[in-house]
Amino acid sequence: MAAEDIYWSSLIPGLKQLEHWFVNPSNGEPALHVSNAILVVLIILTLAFIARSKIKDRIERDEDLIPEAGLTVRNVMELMVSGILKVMEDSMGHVAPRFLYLVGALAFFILFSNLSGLVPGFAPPTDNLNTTLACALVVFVAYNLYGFKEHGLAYLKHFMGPFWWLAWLMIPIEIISHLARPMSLSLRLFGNIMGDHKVGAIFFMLVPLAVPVFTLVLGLFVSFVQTFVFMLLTMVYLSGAIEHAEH
Amino acid sequence: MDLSLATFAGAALCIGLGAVGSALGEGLTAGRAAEAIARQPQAAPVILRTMLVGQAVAESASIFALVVALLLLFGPDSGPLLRGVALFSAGLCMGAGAFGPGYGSGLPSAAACTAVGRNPARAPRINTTMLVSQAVAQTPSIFALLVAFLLMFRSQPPEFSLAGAAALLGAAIAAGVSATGPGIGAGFAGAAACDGTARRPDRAPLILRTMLVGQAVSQSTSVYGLVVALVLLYVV
Repeated sequence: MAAEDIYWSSLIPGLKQLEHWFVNPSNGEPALHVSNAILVVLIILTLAFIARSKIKDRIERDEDLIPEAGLTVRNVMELMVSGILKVMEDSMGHVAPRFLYLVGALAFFILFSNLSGLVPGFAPPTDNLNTTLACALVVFVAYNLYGFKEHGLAYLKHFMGPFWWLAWLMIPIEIISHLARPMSLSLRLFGNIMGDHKVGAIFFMLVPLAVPVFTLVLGLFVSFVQTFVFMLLTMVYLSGAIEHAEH
Repeated sequence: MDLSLATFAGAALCIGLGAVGSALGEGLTAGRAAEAIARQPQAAPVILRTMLVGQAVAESASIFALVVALLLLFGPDSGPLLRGVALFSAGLCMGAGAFGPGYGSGLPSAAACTAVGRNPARAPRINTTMLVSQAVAQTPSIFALLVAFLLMFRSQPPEFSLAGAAALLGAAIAAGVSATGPGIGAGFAGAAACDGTARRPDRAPLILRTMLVGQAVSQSTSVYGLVVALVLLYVV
C-alpha cells in the first residue's frame, strides 16, 4: 500500500476539507465515503443534465422524441431508466411509476457507487456501512410511511399475522423481522462491495498483471447483482406495505 | 502480546467453514440448471441468467466470511489476550454462520432454475421470488457478520479472565451455529415458493406473502441466537 493514497475526490477543492471534517474518531482516517458519495452524485447529476438538455426543448415544444444514433449519454440514461421501470413493473405492477423516483434514485446511486469501486482512484461509498445504512433507513422509513398513508392505522394489522388468535406470537416476530430489514439491506450491500473491493486490492498486491482482470469482472457482476437485489427488496417491502389483503 | 495465533487460526477457520455452504448451494444450482437446459434447450439463456444471478447471491455468505478473514489477516496483530480470543471468536462466528445461509440460499436458486425451465415466460416473477427468499435465507449470516464485527471492533479489558473469554466464545457459537438451521430452513421455503410460482404465476403475490410469513417464523430461532450472543457480549 502506498504511503499516501491518492483519490480523485481530493483533486476537487472542498471535498478534501470535507473528508477531514468527518474524520473517523477511532482511527483518524478521513471520511472518504462522504467525499466519494458527493462525487458520485455529481457524476450522476452531470449525466442527467446532459441527457435532459437533449430532450428538454422537444418536450417543451411538444414534439416527438427522436432517438439519437450510437452510444450517447442520453441513450445510456434512457436505457437505464426504462430498464429500471421495466423491472419495477414486473414486480410491482401498475403502482411502479409512483415509486420510480425512490427506487430509481437508489438504483442509480448504488449502481454508480458500486461501479466506482472498479475505477482506480475511487473509494466506493457503498463499502462503508454509514452510506448503505443511510440508504436502507430511507427505505425503512419510506415503506412504513407509505403503508400508513395507504391504510391509515389499519396498517398495523400487517404485523398481526394471518389469524387474530396468533397475534400475540406474530407481533414480536414481525417487529423483529421488520427491524432486521434495514440491517440486512445495509450489511448485505456493504459486505459484498467491501469484500469485492478488498479481494481486488489483494490480487493487485499479489499479482499486478492480468490476474486482477478476473476480480474486476467479478466486481462488475457483483455491482449489478447487488444493486438489483437492493432495488428488488425495496420494491417488495413497498408493495408489501401498500397491498390490500386478498379475500 | 502477539495475537498472530488467534488471527491466523480465526481467519482460516472462518473461510474454511464459510466456503462450504455457498459452494454446495451453487453446485446444486448449476446441476439443476444443466438439467433444466437439457429439458428445455430453447430456454437456455433465461435459465443461465437465473443460475448466474442466484449463484452470485448465494455467494454472499462466503464473501462475508472472506471479508472477516481478510480483516483478521490484515487487522491488529497485538493487544491483550482477551482481544485475541475475541478475534478468534469473530472468525469462528462468521465461519459457522456462513454455512447454513450459503447452502440455504442455494436451494431457492436451484429450484428457480427448474422452475424457469418449466415456465420460461414467467422468469421475472420466479426470479423475484428467488431473490427475495435468498435474501431472507441470508439474514442469519448477516446476524453472524454483525456479531463478528462487534467481536472484532470492541476493545477488550487488558486483564484476562476465563469468564470473559467464555462469554466471547459463547457469543460466537450462539450467533454462528444458530444461523445454520434458519438459513437452510428459509431455503426450503424459498425453493417451494419458486416451484409454486412457476405452477401458479397468477398467485405469485399470495405465495410470496405466505413464504415471507413462514420464513419470518423460522428466522425467529436465529434471532434467539443473536439475542443470546448480544446478552453474552454486553450484559454478562
